[in-house]
Amino acid sequence: MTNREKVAHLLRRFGLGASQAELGFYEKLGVDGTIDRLINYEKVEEGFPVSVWEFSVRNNNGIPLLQPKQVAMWWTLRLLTTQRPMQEKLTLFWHDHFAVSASKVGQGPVLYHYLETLRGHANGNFLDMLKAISKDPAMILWLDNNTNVRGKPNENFAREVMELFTMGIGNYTEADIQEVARAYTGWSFARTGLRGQRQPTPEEFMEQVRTGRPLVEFQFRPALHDNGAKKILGNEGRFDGDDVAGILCGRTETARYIPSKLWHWFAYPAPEEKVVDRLAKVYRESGYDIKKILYAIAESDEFWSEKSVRKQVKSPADFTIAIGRALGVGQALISQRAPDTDIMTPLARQAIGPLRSFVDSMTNQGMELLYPPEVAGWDWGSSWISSATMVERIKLSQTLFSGGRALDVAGPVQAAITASTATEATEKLCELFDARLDSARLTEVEKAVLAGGGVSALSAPRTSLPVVRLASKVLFAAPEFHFC
Amino acid sequence: MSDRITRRDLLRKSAIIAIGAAAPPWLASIAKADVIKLAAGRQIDPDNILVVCQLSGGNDGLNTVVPYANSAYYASRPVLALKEAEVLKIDAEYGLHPTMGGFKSLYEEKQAAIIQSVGYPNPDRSHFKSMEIWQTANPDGREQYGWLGRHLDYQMKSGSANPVVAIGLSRTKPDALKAKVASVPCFASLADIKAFVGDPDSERMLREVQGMDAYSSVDAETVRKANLTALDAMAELNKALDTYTPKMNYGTNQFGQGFKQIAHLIGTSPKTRVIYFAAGGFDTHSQQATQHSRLMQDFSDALKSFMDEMKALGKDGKVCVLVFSEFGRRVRENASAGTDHGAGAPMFVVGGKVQGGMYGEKPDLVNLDRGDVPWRVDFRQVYSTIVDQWMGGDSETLFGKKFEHLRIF
Repeated sequence: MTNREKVAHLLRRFGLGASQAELGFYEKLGVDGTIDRLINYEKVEEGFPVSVWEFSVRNNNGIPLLQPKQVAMWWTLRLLTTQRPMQEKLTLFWHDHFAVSASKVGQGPVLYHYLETLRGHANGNFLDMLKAISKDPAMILWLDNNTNVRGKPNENFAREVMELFTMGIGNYTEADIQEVARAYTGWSFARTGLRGQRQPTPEEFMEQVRTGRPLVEFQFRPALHDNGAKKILGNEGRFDGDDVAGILCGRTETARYIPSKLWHWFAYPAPEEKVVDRLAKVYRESGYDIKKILYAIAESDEFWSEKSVRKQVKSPADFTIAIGRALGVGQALISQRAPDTDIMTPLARQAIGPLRSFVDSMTNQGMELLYPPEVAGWDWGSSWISSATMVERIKLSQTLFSGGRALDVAGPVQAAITASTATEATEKLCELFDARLDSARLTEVEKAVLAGGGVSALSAPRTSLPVVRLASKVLFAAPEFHFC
Repeated sequence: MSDRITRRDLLRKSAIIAIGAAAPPWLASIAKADVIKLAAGRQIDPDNILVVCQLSGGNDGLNTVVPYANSAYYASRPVLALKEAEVLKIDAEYGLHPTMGGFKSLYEEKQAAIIQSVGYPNPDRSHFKSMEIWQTANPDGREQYGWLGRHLDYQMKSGSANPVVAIGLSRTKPDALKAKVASVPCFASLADIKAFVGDPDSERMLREVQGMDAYSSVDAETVRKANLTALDAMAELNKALDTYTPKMNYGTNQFGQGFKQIAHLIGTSPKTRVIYFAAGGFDTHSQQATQHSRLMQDFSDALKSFMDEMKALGKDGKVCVLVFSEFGRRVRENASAGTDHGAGAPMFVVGGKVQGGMYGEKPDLVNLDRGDVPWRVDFRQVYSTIVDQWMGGDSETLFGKKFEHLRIF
């Protein structure tokens, strides 16, 4: 592999696609520099100034309302725009791992803060993250911990914290679940700021939003907490939820489960024993440092092997966001914001329209952000593939390049693939979308370039649209294009 | 004329036997066994079509099939109750929502079965969970595949399926259609198909770019197959869709557009056996009356137009429409002139061969299940009846056990 190919592999896995702009930038940093910049993203300026509240709409009383779908739209814009692609890729991973769905948690602001909890800990310490997410109102509501009270434990969270979040199924008893549930009793949430029945005025509401303080916060209710001794996985004590998190993170099952899942997300499914051994050791010795595990993944030979490179089925996010980033959609949309935008200035309609195409496409491909299908999140890999979802993937070419849109994304394609021969135009198209096709399929794309009007049509925006549309449609239909 | 006893004869006879008190038990059991055997022996018309119409959000069953003679209904709903004078009476106790004239005429023609108090054990009041339960038909555990998906898989054992044997008219694939083997295409609208396939050149390119060679990777092969399934389905439909245009008057609302496309599919795609369609807006927590009224009218009018179209096509006897929602709504109205999530509710089965009438048990408005209509008929009884007696499938394989059939066919 050349250095450029290595950087592209990193951008596909630890980023959101290898767009030409990113590839050019990261290649200069070299492979190690790229790994460092992607994983150690705190030192990178994110380049995303948009507040989620810009997506809200005012109700009759002038109070901004934020629906889950608007939060999803905002997140999609962030995915398309961010200069910290790994931060979002990890947030997506944790959204799948600590899945919460808006089908039950319907309040946009609560979901927004849930995402911020995930994002804030995404490459941090796993124990800290587990403690934080266990106290997140969205999670508490999602797994009914607000009804988990002394004398009447609700086991929903207790079960999932072991089954899904830490050790994996089969490593604990029903008695452990009951005891863990007792430890989390009295962990609930409450509205912040204004008390009582009175609705806030728009000014009061916005003041609180500006402070960044969540509208709903974790609340410990001592009277509802069972302070008695518990027996959990062989340990005994007057444990509370934080103690349980400590116990669970210290288990050998967790040391294997969490790194294996990260490996699956970033490299390939079912890692070999020796890989898991290696990562479990990093997990334990670093004191559950996620960043250290990510470095260990990037530094594994297996990550760079033939089994890994361009062999992972693209998730709807991998597919859709990478296309959007290749086209520079995020920056183009943000440039339409008014320069003096306040956090409460509604985003221009012409920015929301194109964004909706991306959200809808991902939804139709089977990944509706903030609506994971079940407590265990989404199924990955080949589960993403069905005739219906593939139609949606191919159709994205038609949605994007239908012309007459508020956002011209065909223009950049035309500019990028203008060439003197159809072969060259095809090569440039593949380069633009980071596609590697075998020669037989390249020929098909080339035929599409010719059928759409040929290279002469590419010289002007007016005539280039059919070429761009047909050639990208055939490219998007190529099986290889669905792997990263 | 054949003297072979037909399934329908048998069903009628067994119904009579069951009703007749004088029938000896052994005769009833033999008749019943024969019915099951015949059903399992594929004596079922292979052209039968099932249309599933999902009312998403939890339809208010009590304001759909209104218990106008029940004082508990009026006591619980001072604002939302529909008056005796306005409901469309279908018997001495029940009347349909005032806007459901179309549905009422289907009922009077004995083509509509109303099954009351349908639900499942330990009803879940979450949309998400309850919808999952209805679509996977497994209230007890997690089930990866849908009830129709499993049926299609089961049928694929006896040969390969046509690419358009089942179609979802929806943006996302409903859980009900998720299958292990069968690939079910879903389209947001039929117009999409024509736009997508485009000219023959474009279709050929989309096919050829799939390649002819054997792929080394299993996943790549999955992608290739999925693409070809979609292309096959669309190619088949693309040609066919031009051969017929629905003639009846359908509204521009979601039900009108949905049933018009279903009619279009049935009129043009002879191999399609299952069509799945979902309409939303039923989660009426506040100011329910106007919204629900509009939904009931849209639903009822569209269904009537659809059945008229089927009659005109001579297909009314080939079509069975199953209508369900993930739950009913709370008996007592809430403080916002709406209703909250409930449990038991009516289901409809409509078609030329359906024995119209009232089935199930009257909603019990006194002994409530946490404020809701208690379920008395397991929805899997309805599914099983349809799987075994309409689609020639095997409900026991799908649902893990036998459920008592309803005599709706």
